[in-house]
Amino acid sequence: MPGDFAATLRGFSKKRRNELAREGRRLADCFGGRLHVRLVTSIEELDQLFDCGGSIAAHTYHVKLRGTFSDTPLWRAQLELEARRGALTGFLLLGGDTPIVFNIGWVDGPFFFPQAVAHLPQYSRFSPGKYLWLRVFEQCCAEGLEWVDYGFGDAEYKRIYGTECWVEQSVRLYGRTARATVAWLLDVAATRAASGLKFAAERLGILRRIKNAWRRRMSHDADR
Amino acid sequence: MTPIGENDSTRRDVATAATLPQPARVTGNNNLCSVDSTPDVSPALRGQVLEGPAFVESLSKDWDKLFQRVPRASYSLSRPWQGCFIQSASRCAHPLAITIWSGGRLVSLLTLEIRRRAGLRVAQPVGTSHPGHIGLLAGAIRPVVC
Repeated sequence: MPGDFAATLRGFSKKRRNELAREGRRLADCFGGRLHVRLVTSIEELDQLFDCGGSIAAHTYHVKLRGTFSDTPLWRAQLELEARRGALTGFLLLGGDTPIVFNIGWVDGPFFFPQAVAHLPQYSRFSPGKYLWLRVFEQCCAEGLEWVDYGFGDAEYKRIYGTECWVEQSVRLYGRTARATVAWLLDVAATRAASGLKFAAERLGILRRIKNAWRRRMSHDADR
Repeated sequence: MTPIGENDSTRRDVATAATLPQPARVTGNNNLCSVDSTPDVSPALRGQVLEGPAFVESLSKDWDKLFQRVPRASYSLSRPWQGCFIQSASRCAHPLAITIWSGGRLVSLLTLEIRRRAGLRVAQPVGTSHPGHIGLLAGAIRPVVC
């Protein structure tokens, strides 16, 4: 990040800045102008973070994959640890009294490491996650942080807000036993099939539609 | 992809009390410190594998010292952070630490958790499920004075 929030915004194209402003206005209108960002940094506020964050995460497709924020012993131990060393930085965006997005991470040196991000699917059309990211950048700039490290994986917000990226490859090593060899062959076959299908969907321009449809279905399942 | 064990040198490298004939050279990005020992020095390195969650405590002093010696090490490789994972996962995963020592000093540490999946034992770096930096914690290797 270039230092101050205004300079960060100037790093986006004019079109992007207008788009972000328009989305922010639409989101605020949806809640009658009552948008409020709550910053959680202390151990006393963790229960509130787990309540609000958990209520959001429960409606997302991530919960079906068991890969999201929830009140588990691991998340609690980690957030307590981060809160004790003064590194916890959790953001909650409330529309009126309803928590609609969270962005939870911690600070390490000049870095902010977001660990969990999610929003209520019914507000997806207003891009509340993008709105909260701007508030996160604002706070990071105010605290003098220089980097936001999004971690592994591809996501739209990373493409929009990211300035540097690199491709990483998982490396798997297998043993010599028959079972391990079978697992290796299955892994190679599944990985190549998935890569081929992804490539074909990308070429046909339907990858994003497939992803969105799958996520919607998972979100509906989570709501049942 | 080469399955482990096809190349004998792979086995020697992970064997206990291994002595590496060549100076180690490990490079990495943010979370990995560059290790670049003097080319004409062959420090005696000893490998040790520790199993079970108790290694978090037994290695505590050496782990903390190693972490302090690596200025660019990610907090995800620190003992308190990894300890959270190891303690919370110890019921369903078997933790393991591969350590490299140089003259009684811990110079490199890789923590793994071993799980059973479809009858196979699968080892992965501790913290893989979270989007932090994972991998090897490696400090500079200096020659051992005998």
